[in-house]
Amino acid sequence: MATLEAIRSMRIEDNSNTSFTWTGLPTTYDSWRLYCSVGSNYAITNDFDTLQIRLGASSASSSGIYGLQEIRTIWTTSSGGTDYGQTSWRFPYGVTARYGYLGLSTIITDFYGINDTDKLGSMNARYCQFGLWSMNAGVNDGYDPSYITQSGLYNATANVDTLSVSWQFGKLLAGSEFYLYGYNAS
Amino acid sequence: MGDPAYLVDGVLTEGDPWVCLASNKLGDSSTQTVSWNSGTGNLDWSQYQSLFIVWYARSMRSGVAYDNLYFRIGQGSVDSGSYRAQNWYVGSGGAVAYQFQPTGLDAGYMTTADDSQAGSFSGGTLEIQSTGTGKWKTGIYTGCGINTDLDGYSSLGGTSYSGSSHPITSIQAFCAYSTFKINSEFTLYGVLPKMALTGIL
Repeated sequence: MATLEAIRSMRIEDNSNTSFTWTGLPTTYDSWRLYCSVGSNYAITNDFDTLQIRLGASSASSSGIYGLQEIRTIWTTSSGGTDYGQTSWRFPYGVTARYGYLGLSTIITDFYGINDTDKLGSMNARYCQFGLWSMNAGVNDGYDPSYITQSGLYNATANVDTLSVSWQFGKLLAGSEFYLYGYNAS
Repeated sequence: MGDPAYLVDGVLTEGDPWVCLASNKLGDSSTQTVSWNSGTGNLDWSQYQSLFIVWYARSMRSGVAYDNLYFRIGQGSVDSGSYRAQNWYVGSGGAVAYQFQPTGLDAGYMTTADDSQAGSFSGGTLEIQSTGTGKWKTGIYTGCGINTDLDGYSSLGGTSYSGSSHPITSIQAFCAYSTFKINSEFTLYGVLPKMALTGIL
């Protein structure tokens, strides 16, 4: 029976940290699930921030090894896009401090094959969030969720024992929580 | 988050990460609402990180090819101003995005009496996050089913509730426009955080 076993958790208590990194993660799991309840303290005049997830330190300079394909539905619009050759996986519509400490983005990411050196790593992610996007300012009242789903690829085959989370612009909002699980198929 | 009943003197006593909290299989076609409430011990919802709902249902609505399945938080009066939904509906006509204000957390669409296959039900899952925290609640769902005479669809989306930041202690599943058909099923699971190593920044 497959189960999820807890590996790490992180709770953010103030708005002073741009990122965090977990090191020394066990490489005994082939798949992970990262659960994020997260906001950015990016100035409230901004509609969104971009959450960056790396299988390495947040300052890693390795370029072009992350790619993803995305579909999104925001308000009455829907679209798809691709984002390849990046230095991180990018979740582009993370909620900012516009809604205080109550309305945070929920982002759930499953990573596959990350510790099988015969394969490239891949992931899929889905998230919803509270948010306001300027395209509908004056109509959208700021509490509507978006729904976005992504699949991605990590173009490297080394075992992964480090994971980092950061915002592109703001800092991790107090009250943000992160949980990392390992899939155990025993 | 409440004091977890599954931890006794630092030892995990609950072997499964998912705990079944409630399950209902309806015995007639007149039910409009299925209600669940937090309890004590392992049924105390506050100790779970997320609530996960698996449903298999059909609506008795006629004249329209779909009905909405909502999960209302609390037992109070209808609150249509605090719930939001954003989804994809993918059917034979392609993919369409919708946003709307449901009267509960949105869980997708149900097959109705318009479908001539009497045994055709819709199914799906809804995961509600941060249920025991003081944050507004969000949910992510997927669903699929039959619209009319084997015209199938799938739906996926996000939903939110900003009416209260209190932990969730009560949920009502309901058919937006009619009643559930006999043999519709709803099961509620609690997902344990089961964290051993923690960090604080």
